[in-house]
Amino acid sequence: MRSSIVLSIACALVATACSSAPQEPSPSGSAGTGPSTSPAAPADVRAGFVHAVERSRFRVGDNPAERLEFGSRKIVGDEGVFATRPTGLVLAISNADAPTRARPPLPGGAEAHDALVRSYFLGAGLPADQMRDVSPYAVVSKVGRSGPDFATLAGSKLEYYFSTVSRQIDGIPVSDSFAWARLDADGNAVLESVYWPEIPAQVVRDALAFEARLEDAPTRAALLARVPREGKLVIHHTPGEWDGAFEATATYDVGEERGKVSHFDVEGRRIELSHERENAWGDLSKGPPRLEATP
Amino acid sequence: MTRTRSLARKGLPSLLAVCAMATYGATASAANGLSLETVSDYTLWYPDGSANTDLDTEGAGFWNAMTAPGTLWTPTHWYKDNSVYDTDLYDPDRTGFSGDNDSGNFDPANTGISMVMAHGECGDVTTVNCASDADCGLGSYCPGEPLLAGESKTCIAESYRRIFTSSTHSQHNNQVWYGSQLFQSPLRNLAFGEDASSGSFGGAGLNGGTNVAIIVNSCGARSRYVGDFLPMFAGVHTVMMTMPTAAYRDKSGTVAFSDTRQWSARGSTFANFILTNTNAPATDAWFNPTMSSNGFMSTDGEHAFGAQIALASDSTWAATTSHLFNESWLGTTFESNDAKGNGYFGAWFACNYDCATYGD
Repeated sequence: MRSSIVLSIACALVATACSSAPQEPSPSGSAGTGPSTSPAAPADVRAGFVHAVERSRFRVGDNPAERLEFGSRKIVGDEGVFATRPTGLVLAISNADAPTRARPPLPGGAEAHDALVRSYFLGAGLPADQMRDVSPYAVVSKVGRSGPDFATLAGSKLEYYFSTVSRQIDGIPVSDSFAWARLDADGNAVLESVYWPEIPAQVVRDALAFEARLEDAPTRAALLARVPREGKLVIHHTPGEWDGAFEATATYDVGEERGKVSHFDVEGRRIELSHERENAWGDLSKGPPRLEATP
Repeated sequence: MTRTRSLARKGLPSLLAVCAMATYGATASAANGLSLETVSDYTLWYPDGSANTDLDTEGAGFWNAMTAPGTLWTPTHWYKDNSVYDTDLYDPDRTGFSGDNDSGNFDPANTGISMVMAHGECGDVTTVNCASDADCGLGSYCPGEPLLAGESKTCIAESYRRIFTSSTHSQHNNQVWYGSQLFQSPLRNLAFGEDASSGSFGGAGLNGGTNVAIIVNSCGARSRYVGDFLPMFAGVHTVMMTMPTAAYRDKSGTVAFSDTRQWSARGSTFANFILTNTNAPATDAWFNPTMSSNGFMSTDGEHAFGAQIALASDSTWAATTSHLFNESWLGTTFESNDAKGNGYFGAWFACNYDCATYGD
């Protein structure tokens, strides 16, 4: 009860932050030709979800204040920060000494945690028909005396779970969207994050057309002949930290050697996503050279 | 080039300063430097460019966000490609080789965060099928992971781990070795964080200084053998690493494994977590599902299992646990929080699957 009262007060104090939606993405793209940034008609999108503090189980604590800092609009309270980027990416993190950290994890194990996170995000407005699955991510620990004793510590201790909601639209995974939370024994969020942007309907139509072509045996065989190995069709979009134009596109993703995941169109041509280009996150040619000639 | 600045000059709200002092105690000095080393150009190893990576791009997302005006951190240096020497990570007090120089590079004084992103290797994955550790024998283990029908696990052997550089200035064949292998004492090449605040309990002198060391490479850590990394701890608060966990034989009989993924948004995502709340536990930024979901891959796309791991060692159980569980990013900049010994060792890891059920 106290949490909701304090949250309500927080919202009243930072009414602007609670009522104004973050900058909405206005993307478009098409499969097979690489990402596009032409604006889509507002109605011609598949719904997204932007989490908001008034629908959140995260407690910022007393003395909330709004700040614009490092690209996020933050509500900063005595117990934590609820931050929203212009893309709609939400990240809420409690302080190290926040009371929620001292609470035990939600009882009932992974199944109970997954179930509550699912219902929590559905209740907050996440589109039910876009939920792909909910998966438990365990955090475990081993702490002991150094040396041989440590090596013989039997197994690891479960500390807590995150539950991660993945996304699909019309059966096509949207691999860069997510909603996840770590809940305490009271069902309050210790941490949570959501990035679930609108997807242009044309991108989904292109993805479904791509999927249909993959079901055609000769087309599929031709594609597999051009790519390193079998992969899977997904919809990609730019990350929530991305300051450039929103982009989305459907690609055939293939895992390669040395940790690389490559993207292909239906003809087997490589696609480079905007946020994966060499200078995507800053000009690599800048910066002082190393001064010493030899070590 | 390392610059420091006082807490007062950061313009932190007084509330944050009060909280930090209450939680972490008085501070004598702050370590705010940021050291970054990334290797994308591996043409010395593979001239055709087939082993090149996106790690400079990943590093740019981290560097540019973390050194923006108003953050807690200031640039020490960012070395890329040919400027990343293997000697940058070796500690000369440990190796006895005067050409080694982590003091001036990966582990300089007054550094808050040092991160290296480079190739590693997964040659510790064996072809031995297993259902439990008993099938693997001494010095190897059967990893925990969900399997698909018709698949089997394969053993992972305790083996030296490596970071690969690709520089014409190499003194160690462009390889940085750490860890251990069967019946061998752990290599003591790497020692992070030793300075006047920590003392020289680690036998590495007092010429280090980083407080958080981060290593991103292929198969850089294995859960059963993280105890082999104890020599790294000479005052550093926390070491964060990526830890792929899957090794298996697929339905066709081919041995495969999960790996650290080249993920262009790793640096920007990590930085955004840090900068969102510097009063949150530092490990949150490493442990969260966004990092672990995107941080790993497998060639078939179905076994991208792994964990973001954080390690700490200190003189007491409480201090060791505090580094992993409580210490904020603000706290990591305090030299007074340096480890004062290595009697206790701790590992926390955040899996991208239910490793409490399937194992690690």
